[in-house]
Amino acid sequence: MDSKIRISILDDNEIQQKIILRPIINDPSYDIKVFKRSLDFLNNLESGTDIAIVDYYIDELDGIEIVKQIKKRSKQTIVIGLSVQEKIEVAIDFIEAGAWRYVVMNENGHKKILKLVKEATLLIESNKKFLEEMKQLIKNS
Amino acid sequence: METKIKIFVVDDDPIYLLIASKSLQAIQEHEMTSFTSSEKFLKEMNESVDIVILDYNIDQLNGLDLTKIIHEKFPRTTIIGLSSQEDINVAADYIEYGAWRYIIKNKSSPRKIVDLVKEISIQILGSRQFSKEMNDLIRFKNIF
Repeated sequence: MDSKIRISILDDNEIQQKIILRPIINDPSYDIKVFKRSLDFLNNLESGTDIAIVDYYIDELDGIEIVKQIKKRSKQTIVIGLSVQEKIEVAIDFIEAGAWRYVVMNENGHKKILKLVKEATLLIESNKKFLEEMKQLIKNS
Repeated sequence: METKIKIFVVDDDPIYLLIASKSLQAIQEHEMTSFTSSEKFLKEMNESVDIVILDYNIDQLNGLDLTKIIHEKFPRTTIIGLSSQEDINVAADYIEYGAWRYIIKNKSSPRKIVDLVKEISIQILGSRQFSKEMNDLIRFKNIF
């Protein structure tokens, strides 16, 4: 129950990385990893990722393809898709691929990400708690 | 954006839920309607209902039957199943049929219900906010 929330960020833009990281990096409840290459990011998935933050523009694989891969390999991971584009098509592609939310990286983007990370954290903690309760129920019956 | 959470309760003895509703009042703006018959509930049920709380023993239909029906017809509504039994099979059935959570009815259940409604309300309001943002994106597209 007291384990940290594992967050993986995939973004090859260093400035954007810093913007995303700033509000969460010093929070001890998060264990954060940052990746620039999609392959490294995907290889790390299996070690356990609670929240994945994925930019639309990466390398040979685009953000949408990466979200599909995440959902294939680690279904329970909550995915937040990012892009600088204010385009509904990108948002729809992300959601259809299995992302939970889509954020437009404008001047308020970092605030939105922080809010979503907090929301997702509550969801993850609530699920963990419920799982524990059910385990207890199995023990009792 | 609408911030009120709409809750339907089906329970022939909704005392725990009334206690929960009272303590919930201070935390989350909500509207709780309770039913003692499954027929009346199904007649009133619609997609604007955010949360449905179902007891196990109702009438000819039990909480599991209603969970199945609601989950199929209104997949966006969150279902919380109640039962007085400490039975993992009932819990597992509720979850399998589409309930989000299962609560055992006892003296701590009002508190439990308040906690769960608080938790899911954050998610519901988050989804509403997200839908609003997506609608804004569509509108943005139509302008340019």
